Amino acid sequence: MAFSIFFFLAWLFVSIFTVMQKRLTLVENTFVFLIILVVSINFSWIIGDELKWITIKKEALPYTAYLLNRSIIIPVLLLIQLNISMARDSIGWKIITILSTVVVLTGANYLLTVLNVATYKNWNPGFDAIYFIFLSLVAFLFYKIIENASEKVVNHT
Amino acid sequence: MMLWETFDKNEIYVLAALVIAYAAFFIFPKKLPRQITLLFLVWGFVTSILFDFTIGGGLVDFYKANDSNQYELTDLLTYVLFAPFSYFFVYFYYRLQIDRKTVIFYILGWTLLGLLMEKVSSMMGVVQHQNGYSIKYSVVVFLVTQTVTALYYELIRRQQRQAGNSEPRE
Repeated sequence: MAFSIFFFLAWLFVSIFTVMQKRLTLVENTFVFLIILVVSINFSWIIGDELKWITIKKEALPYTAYLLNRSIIIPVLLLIQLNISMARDSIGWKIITILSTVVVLTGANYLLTVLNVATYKNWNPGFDAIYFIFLSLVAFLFYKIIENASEKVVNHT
Repeated sequence: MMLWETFDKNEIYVLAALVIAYAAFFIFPKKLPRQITLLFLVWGFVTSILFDFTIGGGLVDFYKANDSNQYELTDLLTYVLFAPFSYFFVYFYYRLQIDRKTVIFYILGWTLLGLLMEKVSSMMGVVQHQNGYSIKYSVVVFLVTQTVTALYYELIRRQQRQAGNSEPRE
């Protein structure tokens, strides 16, 4: 059950990202995706396998659902959020998109616990929400880094 | 997380390889745009982490990196070592003007280099295969990652040509 649900979510978010109008270039999207992926993998490993604050069911299909969330859903959803938030300059718009993403990602993590894929020991959804706000800021910061590395010539008129 | 279990040959090998790889990165003339350089450095770093934390750990746990299954500083340095290799894959792809006729040989050459590096890493205790995994399965990993890297670089080049950006810096 968990595998099917998380496969569907991964498919849905990848499809939305594929068809949406993107504000970032291919290089920028790829760079931010890779950075979020590496933070997501390391963070989940440290709180799960090293600190044992979360335990993950060691069965093939539930574990694959967890991997889909860690390696596809989290980074792709943050990319969608970044592309949408860049559509307008308003700070309010950016805050709304970040908070919406945090709610969806925290919900996806909570779903892992409801489906018995993950068990929280010294962890709770509040910490998830803080972590996803941090991850949103990381995405924004690294977008600025790769954007500044661009050698595009801008004509000021 | 710890620095390392014991400072011995695998740590020395990783540090020496880092010095050589990053010295080469700084010595070779920069021919690729900054964005592409940054992207493919991160690409190599993330690819090694993705494989290590997906098939090198967790449920299947096909290999152990360095002294233990715990996260060590040496593991992180090992991932950092992959960054310049990814960069050089794209760098020489551009410098050697790899095209449809030569791309298969280019990928096979890098696959052989990858297997050689894995053999040396294995002898130096950086990688220890387990749970039925052996180096022959790494052929699949190298072929897939390098083919995806080459195709992705071609996609970026095509998009940049269409956008009218002059890609290489000469």
